[in-house]
Amino acid sequence: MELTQTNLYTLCAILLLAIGLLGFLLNTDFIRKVLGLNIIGIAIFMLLLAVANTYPAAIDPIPHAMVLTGIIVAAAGTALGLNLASKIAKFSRIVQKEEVITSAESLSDKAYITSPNNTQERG
Amino acid sequence: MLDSLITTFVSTYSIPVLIVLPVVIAVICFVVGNITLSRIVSVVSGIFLVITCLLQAGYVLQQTAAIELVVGNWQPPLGIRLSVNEFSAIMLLMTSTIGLAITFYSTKYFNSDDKEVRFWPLWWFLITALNGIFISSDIFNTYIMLELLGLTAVSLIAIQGTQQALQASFQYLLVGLFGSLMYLLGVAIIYRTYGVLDNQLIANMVENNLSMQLALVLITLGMMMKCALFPLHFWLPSAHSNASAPVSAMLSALVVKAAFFILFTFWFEILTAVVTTAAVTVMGIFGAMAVIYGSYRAFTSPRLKQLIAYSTVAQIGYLFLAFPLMIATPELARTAVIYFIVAHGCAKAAMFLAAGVIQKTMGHDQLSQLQGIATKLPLSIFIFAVTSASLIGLPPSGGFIAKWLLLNNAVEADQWWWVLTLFIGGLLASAYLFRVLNLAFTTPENKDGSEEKFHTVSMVSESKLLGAVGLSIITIVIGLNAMWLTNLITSSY
Repeated sequence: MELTQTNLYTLCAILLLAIGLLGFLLNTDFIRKVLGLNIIGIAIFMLLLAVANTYPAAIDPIPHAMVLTGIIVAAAGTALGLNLASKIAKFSRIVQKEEVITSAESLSDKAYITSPNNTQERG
Repeated sequence: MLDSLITTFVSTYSIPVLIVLPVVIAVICFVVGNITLSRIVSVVSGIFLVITCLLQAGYVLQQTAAIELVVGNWQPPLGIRLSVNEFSAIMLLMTSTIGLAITFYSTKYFNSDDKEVRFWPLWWFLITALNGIFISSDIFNTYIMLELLGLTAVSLIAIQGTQQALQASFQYLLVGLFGSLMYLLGVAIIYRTYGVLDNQLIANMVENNLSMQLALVLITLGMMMKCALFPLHFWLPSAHSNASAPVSAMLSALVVKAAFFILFTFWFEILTAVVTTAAVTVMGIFGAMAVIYGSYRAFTSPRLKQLIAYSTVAQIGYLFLAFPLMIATPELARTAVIYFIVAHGCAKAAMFLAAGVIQKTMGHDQLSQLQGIATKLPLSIFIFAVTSASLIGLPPSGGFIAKWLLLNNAVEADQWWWVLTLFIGGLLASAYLFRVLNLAFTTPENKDGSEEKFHTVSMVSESKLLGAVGLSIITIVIGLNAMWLTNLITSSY
């Protein structure tokens, strides 16, 4: 198979797809998962662009329209994903803070040796 | 005079109405941000949508011809074609009817204005997306609607605002985006091979080759994730059980079915040349496993809404049991699938709405503490019992007819082993649903603490369940009028 522009783009698309899939499936981190999905999306857009370039003399406009729409959808999905991730992070931060506070309290309780009634109220 | 007026309305304007009306309502609800106005507009336009879909379904089923609309008069290879055939007409009618019932319920469900202000615009965008999927006859257009559906469904779960709901919605977002990207990859491969996007044009050109097989596998993978077929169902129980009741009802009754609709269209209308007996059998086996696993997990669920969510996993399995039957007896299997979707949609929506009232009045939905609620919430438990009958498949409910059609079909197609799954599934369904009913009718043991609590419970009005009552009546009516309905469906192809 000769290395035309279309084939080069397709090869890039397949590589990007592999990177995106690995990133999406292997990471547990929220942000990395969203990024992995973005890379998969870009791989598919690349594939569509390769299709548009099959006959360089007459470039097909439909894949461009598809990619344009796809980019908008990907941006919306990413925005929603990041928003949700930050909300979840805020929740877990509150939980962490509470844990820190309670552990600090128990430390101070030990230091000042308060009465057992006091600690019971707090618990 | 009226006749011709209706005919012109249905054949020319009914398709644009299905998309334009919900979008306009969504935008109005978003811009105005007034709850009272949103409620009024939503109920009125919900009723209007039901009437439109009713006329449309009547037209399509009577004329036995699909209504088509070519957007902007640009013919298919370049333009987008929208069409309503008998399958999508029934899906649209079901969407609008269940939508109206849930709309009515939601006007009285939310106790915080903040949530409700966010609910209405998203709700109408969700209906837009569902309608769009059912009328779209262009694989890329379907992708857009699929993404709109996924994003609005995720946001609707997230407005619940609890940590579990946010985590469930994030997981759902990842699954949904991944599923629709796999779908888009399939679309890209199809476009690369044939250079067209219209369903009909692809169906005419398609051959059984490696790239089409790959496309079908990718699209099936994506849609299996979205409709939570057994090995890929992991996201559904948490997403459906942590959302608010109207949202859970919509997700279980319709959103999952939209993904199934796309999958079904691809297998048996677009890429039919690629479909082999081995492939449909694999799908059937996944379905059978879903029935058994979902029912088992439903039986062991500690929470009411989780139980209903797992029941959805099981019921989705039944739909895939029709796949292996599609090759031997396509007409029977198609009728069974349509019937099953309608019966399950109505029953599951009503059940989730009833569960919402139970959860709201009790403040939780832990099954172990739901003893004796039948005396306090008689209407909710009545709806739960009627819809249970439909899910189990007891006559004269719609679920009975749906299962009977599947069973009859499996025997006709000489594939009796699927009947076993139907029996086991029915048995397990009765086990997990009677577990709830049994608890609801037993008197609680400890007298002192619970007496006081139950007095406050009895004050709660169940009037918002009017829509759910309507849906449970529908589940019975479609069981009683089964012959008429099945004839209507079968006569149209």
